Amino acid sequence: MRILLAGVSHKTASVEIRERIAIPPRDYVETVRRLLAAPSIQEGVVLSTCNRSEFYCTAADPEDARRELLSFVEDLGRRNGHSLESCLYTKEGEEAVRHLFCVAASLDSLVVGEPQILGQVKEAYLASSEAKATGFTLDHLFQEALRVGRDVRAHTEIGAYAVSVSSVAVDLAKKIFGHLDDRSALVMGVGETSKLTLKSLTAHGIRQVFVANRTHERSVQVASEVGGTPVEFARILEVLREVDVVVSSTASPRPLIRRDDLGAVMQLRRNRPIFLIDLAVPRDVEPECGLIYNVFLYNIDDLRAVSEENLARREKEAARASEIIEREVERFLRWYRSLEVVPTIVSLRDKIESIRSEEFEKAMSKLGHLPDKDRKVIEQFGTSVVQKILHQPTVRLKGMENDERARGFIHSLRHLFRLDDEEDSKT
Amino acid sequence: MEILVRVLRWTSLLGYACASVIYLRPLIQASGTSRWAIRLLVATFAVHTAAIAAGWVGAGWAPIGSSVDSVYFFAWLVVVVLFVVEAAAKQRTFGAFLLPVVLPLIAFSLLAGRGRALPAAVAKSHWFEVHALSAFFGYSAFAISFCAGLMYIMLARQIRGRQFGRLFVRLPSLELLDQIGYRTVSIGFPLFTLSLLTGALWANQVWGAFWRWEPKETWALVTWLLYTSYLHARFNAGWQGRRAAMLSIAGFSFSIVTFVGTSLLAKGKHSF
Repeated sequence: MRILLAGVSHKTASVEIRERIAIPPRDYVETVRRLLAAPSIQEGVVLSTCNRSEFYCTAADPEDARRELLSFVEDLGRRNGHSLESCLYTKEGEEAVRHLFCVAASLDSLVVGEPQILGQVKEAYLASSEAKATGFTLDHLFQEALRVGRDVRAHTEIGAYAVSVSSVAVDLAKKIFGHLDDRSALVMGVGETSKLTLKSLTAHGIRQVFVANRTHERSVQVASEVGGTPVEFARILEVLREVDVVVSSTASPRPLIRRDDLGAVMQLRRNRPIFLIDLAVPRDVEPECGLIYNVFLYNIDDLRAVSEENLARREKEAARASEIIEREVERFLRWYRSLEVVPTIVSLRDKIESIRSEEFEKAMSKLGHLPDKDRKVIEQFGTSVVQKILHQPTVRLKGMENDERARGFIHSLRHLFRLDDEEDSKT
Repeated sequence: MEILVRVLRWTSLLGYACASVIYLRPLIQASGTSRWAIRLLVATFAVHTAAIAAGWVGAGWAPIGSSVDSVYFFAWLVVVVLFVVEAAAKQRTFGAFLLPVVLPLIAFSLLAGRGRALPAAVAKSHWFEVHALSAFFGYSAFAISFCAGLMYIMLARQIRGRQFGRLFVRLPSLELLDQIGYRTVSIGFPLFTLSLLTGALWANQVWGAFWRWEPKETWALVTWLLYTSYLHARFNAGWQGRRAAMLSIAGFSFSIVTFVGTSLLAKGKHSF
């Protein structure tokens, strides 16, 4: 098999190295053209995200191609001032296919199950395909990889459960409110986690953000940072009447939102649901607030517990995803092997030969009066017609034996002559 | 013809049973919503429609001509409303909750025999048609609000209990469920009210009295009061969310008793 890949990923290289070799999507086309300039490399795809840079190719001679591919990637590394020797991995054939399927299914991701990678694989493939760098084999390989990625997503729950504190919070907000488009939020105090949470919330549609801090200057400063409206600390209860989500992480030693106050606020809200995310230790929201009707209260421990539980779930789902991938690798290999030159020539010859002998028998059953000598002549005639017809295609195919492009011809040939039995023709 | 109708009805029962299983699977196992779910449901619905049409045109069973036929027809309406809601909410989870409601209705209509036919003189009145149809549409709207209520309570339990299971992933948001529950009651309630009014007018025509405190009438009144309190609580007391969901579950339970239960248990004149 002559599918190869070389690359670095978060599993082998630190972020310093990864960012040096990373190729922005706008440079995909140029990079893949340079890759194709290597004499043995016939097709190529460049995939580069913040967690990996990988180079896929097919080649006539795997030994030469591997050398060329490695020196190409090493060059890229050197150009950016770093040796990649220790962190570069290469895979070939079945291994390379399995790796790409795992990448597309997000099993090889830093956060297993994260959804962006499938789109990134697609983008990489489309760029290379537009640059006419892909051919019969890589086209099929990448289309299959994208399909496998979608299948894994549809048939397992690998991406169903949020695994970071901020994404768990957003998931909850969406389960409570549906779309977050017209919703508003109040942020009290600002820490790293609350900034992240706020960022995810606004990324999912929340428009209006109020910011309250102990000192008003700080409120104004943070508000301008996150694009919100500063409010004075004393007006929190007023704001609580309006907002849907509260993210709290102040350093206050005592709770800022008390059950009685919130109860009164809920009356004024006419029980409109409110979602309180209390990231502070000690807590900013009295735990009893969670008992009030239509108040959904989560503290930092709740969110962490959920995210850990979800991580365990993802790992369980990853095992199921691997099963799907094994099946698909097997299927791809079956397809790939069916396109080898020699077996195709053999089955083409068998097919034509069986037609010839069948037709000969048919004719003989009507020509029973002929003497043996004449029969021999007729048989000879049939055999040499078959030989002559098959001669050129056989020679040509044999001449392409080490050429990946032969697979396109073989595919057509198998299709036109129906060389595949029932099961294979389906795949 | 009668045999054909029987066969079609049994086929529809089988179809809905299979569809229920396929609809429920994603809530129980880690599997995506199968495309076969909707295909099978549409096919079964076609059989269901054919059974009603064949019964009506061929065997002369008007869809609402007897207590048993009308339950079968009601199940059909519920599925129509299910299609509308699933399309409007872009959600495929309602079927998982609604089909298990449809299933016993159909089983009931198959196993309860032919049922009592309406006396021809009674059925002739136009009040009767309006009465029965508005009641059916009202009940099917209530059926949806019942499902939305059930889904709301299950999802809210998971959110509050910090136990995120498969339901958490599959169900739509609390907000959407609450809105669907509310809107379907808002549509069902006036229809149901209309059926009570026309029912009274019709009763006056046929039996010479507007209201006779028969079991069915009494249960209908209780049901009506429940939904009145649902709307009242929402408008005036801000009862959105879990309490509203519980009321709509109670409301539909009473509807079922009113609609099917009183025909089974009591021997009033009305009996369907």
